[in-house]
Amino acid sequence: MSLSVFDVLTSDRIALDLKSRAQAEAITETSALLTTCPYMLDLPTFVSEVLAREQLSPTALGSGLAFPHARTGTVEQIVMAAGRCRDGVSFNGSDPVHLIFVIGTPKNMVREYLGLVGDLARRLKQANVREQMLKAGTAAEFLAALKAVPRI
Amino acid sequence: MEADPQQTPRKWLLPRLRLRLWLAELFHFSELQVTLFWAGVIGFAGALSSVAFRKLTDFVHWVFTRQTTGGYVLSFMNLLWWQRLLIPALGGIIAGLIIYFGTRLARKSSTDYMEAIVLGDGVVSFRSSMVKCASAMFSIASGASIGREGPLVQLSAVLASLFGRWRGMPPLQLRLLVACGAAAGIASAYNAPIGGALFVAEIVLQSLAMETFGPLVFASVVATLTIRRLLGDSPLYEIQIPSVRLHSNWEILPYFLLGLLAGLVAPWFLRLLRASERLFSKLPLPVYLRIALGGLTVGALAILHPQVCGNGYSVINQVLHEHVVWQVLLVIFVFKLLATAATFGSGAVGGVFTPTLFAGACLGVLYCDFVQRIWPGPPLVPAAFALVGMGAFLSATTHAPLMAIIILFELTLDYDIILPLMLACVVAHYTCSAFEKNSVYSESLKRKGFGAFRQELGALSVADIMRANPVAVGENARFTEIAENFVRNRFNYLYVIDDEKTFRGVISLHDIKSYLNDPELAQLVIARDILQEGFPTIVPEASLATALERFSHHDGERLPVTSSRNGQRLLGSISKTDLLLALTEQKPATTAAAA
Repeated sequence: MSLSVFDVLTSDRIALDLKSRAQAEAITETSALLTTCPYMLDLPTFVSEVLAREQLSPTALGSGLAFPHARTGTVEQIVMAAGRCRDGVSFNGSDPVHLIFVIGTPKNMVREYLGLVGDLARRLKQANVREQMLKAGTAAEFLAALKAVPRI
Repeated sequence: MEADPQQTPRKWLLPRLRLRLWLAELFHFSELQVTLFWAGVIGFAGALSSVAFRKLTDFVHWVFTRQTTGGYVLSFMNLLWWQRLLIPALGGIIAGLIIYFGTRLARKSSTDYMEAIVLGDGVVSFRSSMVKCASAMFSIASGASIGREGPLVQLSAVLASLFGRWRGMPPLQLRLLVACGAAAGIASAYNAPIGGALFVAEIVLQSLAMETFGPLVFASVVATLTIRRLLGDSPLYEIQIPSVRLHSNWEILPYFLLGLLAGLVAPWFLRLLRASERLFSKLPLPVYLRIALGGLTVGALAILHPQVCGNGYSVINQVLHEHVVWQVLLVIFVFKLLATAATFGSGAVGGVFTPTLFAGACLGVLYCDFVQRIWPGPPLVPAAFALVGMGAFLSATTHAPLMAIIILFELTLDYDIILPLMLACVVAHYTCSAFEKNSVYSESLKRKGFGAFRQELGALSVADIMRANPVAVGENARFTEIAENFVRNRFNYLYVIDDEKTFRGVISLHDIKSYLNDPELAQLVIARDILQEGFPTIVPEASLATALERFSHHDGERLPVTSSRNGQRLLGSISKTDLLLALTEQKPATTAAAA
């Protein structure tokens, strides 16, 4: 059974109002939500790996979405945190990004990672889902909006 | 999500990748199955080339003789004496001139087609093959006493070699494909699919391992089906065989003795051919005059007995169906042997397979005539002795009894003949081997360095079967590049290297399945996100046994070869199919070394 987004993204890993407006800061701020995650072994290294990966190839997908991620030895399981910024964060000069999903994957979980990211991308494809997530007042509503899409 | 057009895979890519994945999951194709497919293609192409050669030769024969009646012997019977004398000589001059000028164009040319299927590295020269086939066409069409199967095999083999090289096949697979071409050529010549496959397996590859025998059978079957569709069900050389039945088990005894006799006479047949070759090579004449002299000899013999012309099938048919007085047959037999020796010795291109069958048939009938006088039992059937004689003589001269039994059985499709045939073929082979170490094909096998290649196989390492410069992508390659590589190539694992060409891992085709319905998502992925680390590798110095052991723990078709020094630099890859082919060919060398 493959992982679902909701197995790894819980309401305590969602920041609805990111303070940062710059890419690196926004990623760092979102990643900080993983501080208490039991699978996170070394947060500073993780963040630097995510930023390094971002340098190689930007992860902004358009439609106000970005999936900064890293395959890393600093996590024991797949971990995820989400950050929202209504004003938008500039990712390497792309359109403003409103929803940031930081993902960490252990090196040996390629297939699970692909399944998870595929699931997340399919849910976020729908404009009304993204709108609901931007409108959400609480982390629970944010998750509920994402959950409203049946898993394909 | 709006996709960035630069990073989104092109429209055709995803459907093709899906199809590729579906096929991979449904059929689990390995290179062996793919080889089987190409073997079929080669079988088809080989059969077409056989038909084309046959038609062209018949046309050239018509130009020479203005005769269209069935069979070359019949054509020559209708000619005047001086025409019988001069036409083979004229054909010989043209055939010789083709070789003379052809060898100037091509680097080298041999008169023996066996070299084509002795394979070497699987590269068969196109020019030299065309020279040989064109030369053979004029020799055969002008009545030389030589078989048509030689150029047919050559044509199929060169087509296979060209095709394999065009497909970029590595040497071991190229060799197998050329062998398939040769099998298709034999199968086309004799309408004998099993015989075609066995001819190459037993004489050339000396192995019946399924890795090599399977494709040979496939090529032979496709070639035979194609020939039957184009030329009808009857064999290219039609032999109508009277039914043969043993009335008592004692009747097997004369066949046993016939095998013995064939085994005793065959070495002399081989020596006659070699002596003639030596004699002609001593003549201070250019090749075109030598072949013309060979043709003139055939022509001179044909003035008295036109039966010496051609490959001898019509005479075989004659002795199978009519009673020929033994004195007449003996003269034809001797004349035909001389004609064959003259043609073969002069350097004319063609096969000795069919003339061998002729000699065997005559020997069988003459022997039957003799035994009949002292045999106390019911009358013997000369045709049966002709058939068994053909098989026994073929078995003795080629040192390939299995192929001889099967070819004769396929030519006759008469099951009753099988017991005496099997016995005589094996006896003839054992008898001949005691006197003559070399088969009719041994010389060419040796010339091409066949033995040397065999010995090398024993000492092969991974480096010898490695394919250099494997397809690999950088760590930062995007999904589009990755997907394109999977579509363009047949493998299930794509290698990933870093800037220093160090091997980092692989991307599995099955892993990227999740992305197929999300083209937008493809923008997100680069190779390093999805590569599998810890993939098994092998060093070039490793033995084939080590490689086999490594494959036994790995479900892939290929293994990356990485340098043992300078980190894990990616040098190449080895395929399981190449490894199995190399190990298959290694077996006889091991056996020979043990003997």
